[in-house]
Amino acid sequence: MAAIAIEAGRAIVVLLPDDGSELVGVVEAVEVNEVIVVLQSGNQNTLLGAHPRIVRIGIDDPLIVDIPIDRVEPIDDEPPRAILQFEPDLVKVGTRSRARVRAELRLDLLVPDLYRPRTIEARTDWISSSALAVKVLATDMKNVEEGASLVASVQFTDDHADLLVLERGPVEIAGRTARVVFNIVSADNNARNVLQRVVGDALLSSAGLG
Amino acid sequence: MLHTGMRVTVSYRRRDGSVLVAQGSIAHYDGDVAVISPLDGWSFCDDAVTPDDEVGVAFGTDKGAQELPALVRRWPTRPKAQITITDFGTPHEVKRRRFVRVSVKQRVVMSTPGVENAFDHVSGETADLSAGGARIVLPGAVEPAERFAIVIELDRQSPFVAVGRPVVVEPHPNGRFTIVRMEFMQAPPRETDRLARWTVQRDFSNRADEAKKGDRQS
Repeated sequence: MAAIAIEAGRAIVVLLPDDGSELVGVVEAVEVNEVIVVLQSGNQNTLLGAHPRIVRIGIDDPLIVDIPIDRVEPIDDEPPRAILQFEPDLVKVGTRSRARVRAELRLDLLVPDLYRPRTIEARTDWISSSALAVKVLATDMKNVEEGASLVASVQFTDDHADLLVLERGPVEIAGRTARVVFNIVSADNNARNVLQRVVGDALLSSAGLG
Repeated sequence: MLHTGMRVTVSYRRRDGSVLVAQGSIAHYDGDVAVISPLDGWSFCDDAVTPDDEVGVAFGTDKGAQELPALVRRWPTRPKAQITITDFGTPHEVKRRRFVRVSVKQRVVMSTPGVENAFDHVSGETADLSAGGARIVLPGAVEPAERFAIVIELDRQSPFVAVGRPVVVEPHPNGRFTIVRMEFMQAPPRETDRLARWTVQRDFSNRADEAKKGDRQS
């Protein structure tokens, strides 16, 4: 079987256990021969006992293929996720390896400096489980080199802010505005859970599975 | 004691007193000679080191970290960049901690999310520092917080950036300062590695300075 290219965020998957049931989800991430799927809520328990061996992946209608799964590993998360592992060379990354979703989270970016630390107010443009993009004034990114570490404060609840360590990635400048991609280098458990939930819910919703 | 595939840290003191540190793995060991291959950013190639110069080879064991003095037989040349060492001395214990901790006074800025999500900052200096945490002296009292963004000066390098958790907050004996023992909770691996190298180098320099002082006094 030729390698199937899978694009994160677009591919709908149906896991087919032997008992005839179906578990539906959306591809969140594609690694080498490994796919992370966000499943509809409530499917986690079914998945644990189901041992599906085949996944049906609809990549671009009408291209729908059945691929044998080597191993399925449920992830205790909300919405539930599963890692599908395949035989070597069966799956490859399509144009995108991590699903991005539109989300407007307000955050403050701390540009570290030993004498004059400054804060940039920003809103996210999109987020994924490993990165986020913000729109800021182009001048705000002055002296922030690619690869530089920044700390972001994100207020997920009224009385609590979480800190994320980010690394500056590519910048697109349009007029006075810059869209900056940051890799999420580290986040505490609460922040990671919230991001996973936002990404998972948005993916299911956009696929009509929410 | 050494074996093929073992990860080691090789350190070499230059004639100007500065120290080079690099990670490597043992590619060959026959009891008399060890050949070490570089694992990352092997900067030894660029230094004019002559045979019979002394290096330290540090490695971990079940009982803690050990350092083995050795003499250089062949210095690395590009592209393979392997170093060959021989004439091993007696190993000695170096540190039982996960990371080397050094007494240093480096400028620190600690920031917490403040009112309306902006950051509040307080600056002080380290009393000691390792890649896993720091003891920090701050002026006055410190507002309690679960997490701080931490920026620490590393001499001529760009500052170390991490998120830290205060483990112990206690008044300084003179009553005008506060001491915060901070654990780095969310340090990016690259930053931890950079700080680990910096502290090892500083530890070597500190010990060399102490040895010089001892020589002068005797």
